[in-house]
Amino acid sequence: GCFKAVLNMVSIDTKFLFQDSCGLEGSIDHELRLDEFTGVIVPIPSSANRQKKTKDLLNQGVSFAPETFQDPREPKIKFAHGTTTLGFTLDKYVVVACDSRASMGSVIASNTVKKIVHINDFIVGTIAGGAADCQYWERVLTTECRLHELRNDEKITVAAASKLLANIMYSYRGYGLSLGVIMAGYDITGPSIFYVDSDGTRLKHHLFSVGSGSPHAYGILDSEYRSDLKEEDAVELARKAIYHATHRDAASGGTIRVVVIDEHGARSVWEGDMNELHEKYQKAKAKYRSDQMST
Amino acid sequence: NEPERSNVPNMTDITFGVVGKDYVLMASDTTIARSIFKMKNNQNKIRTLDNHILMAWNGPVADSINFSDYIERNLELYRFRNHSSLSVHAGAYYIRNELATAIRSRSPYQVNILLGGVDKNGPALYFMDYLGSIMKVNTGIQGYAQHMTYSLMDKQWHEDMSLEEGIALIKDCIAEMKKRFLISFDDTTFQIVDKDGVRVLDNP
Repeated sequence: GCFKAVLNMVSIDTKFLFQDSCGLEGSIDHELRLDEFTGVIVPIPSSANRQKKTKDLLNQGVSFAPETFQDPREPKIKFAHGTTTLGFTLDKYVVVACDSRASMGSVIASNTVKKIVHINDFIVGTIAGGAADCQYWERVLTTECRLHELRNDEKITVAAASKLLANIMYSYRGYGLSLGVIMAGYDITGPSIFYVDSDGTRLKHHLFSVGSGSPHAYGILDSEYRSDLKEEDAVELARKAIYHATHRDAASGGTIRVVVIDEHGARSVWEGDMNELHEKYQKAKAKYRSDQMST
Repeated sequence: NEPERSNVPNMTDITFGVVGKDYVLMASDTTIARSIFKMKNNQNKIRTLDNHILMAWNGPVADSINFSDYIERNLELYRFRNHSSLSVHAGAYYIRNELATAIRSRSPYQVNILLGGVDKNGPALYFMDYLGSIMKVNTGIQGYAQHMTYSLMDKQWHEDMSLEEGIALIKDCIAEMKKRFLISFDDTTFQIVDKDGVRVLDNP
């Protein structure tokens, strides 16, 4: 009742917002009603030309399935997609690194996004794909992990946490969610990372990179990764890989953050602007070349 | 315009199955791809069900893993309830039924299956696709490999093959794929099921 009153007050705005966000523009003049059961605002086609309008409505897609949600070529809701995230396991710990740029089309929406989410003291997740989806569902995962701890009196494993998220994603198939998460942590089985996707894909491997800059990061990682790296070398490798990805990918940049998770928990080991790294690497390269030439 | 369910194409998984004298030998590649990248190169795509059935899956990882888990657990449940396992034939038709029921539901399973097992009726290999069709075959192939290796299989397969002959046949098919298929793959896993159960062949 109360919600309906509010809805009536804002009905004009919601009408425009609704039309705008769902691509239902101009061609059908319809009213909105609140569906009491689902709490979703739906349009009512007028009684004249009802069949045609219903058919048009269905064709225009009042649904969130990817093929009818919005035209992929001209999306009305633009998701922030560009990113580079990576994670890899060593013998006794995990290294995770991310950039911090959120781009919407050709606009940099933010250069200071926190893409590493701490799910608990021993597990982190990264954000890639739709920022809102990642933030929301990783928060849901955080509560589920805490509930697991309270119910079972033991810390949840990374495998179980990633399976929780993967099952949620699988059940929301066709709703247009966009997520590419690397879940990294240290549990009773040791260090591990999982890749979880909005399709419901869940993969376990020793090395993952996700995002628009991931191909560039893979180039650096594949050439220098070894499972017995010392921590400072591993952190340098992660940093270097993100730096190279941010250098070549327009949609990645900002500050580079590196997190290490070992038996004592997750800790942030390095945070710095990629442009400063760029200066440092260029200087080192120049020095190396000048040393070479002088010998 | 069919909606894109995931970035992983269905057909580039490579799976072979061969019925021999008293065994079924299966091999599949171990690559998981995401658009143009290999995300993982050591994935076992042949699932063991009930200790005497091998199920090789082809398709997007999410669907395949969820479907395999579902089937594996339901077969175990049957075993607990009835104190005996389903025969290979019954198991195959159960799986086919699940695929066929799902095809007209809200979310069909996009999984192609090659199922092999040995029971008191001898070795059997079943080819199933995601629409729920099923065929009992002697040589089974899934994916693009079908185009390139069915002829090889037809030429070389014969009744009552020994294990060495079966391994040689599949190896020849893999060599053909490596030569002619555009998409490269590194490793393959070989698994065999015979009257003693299921095992992995480490160095076939």
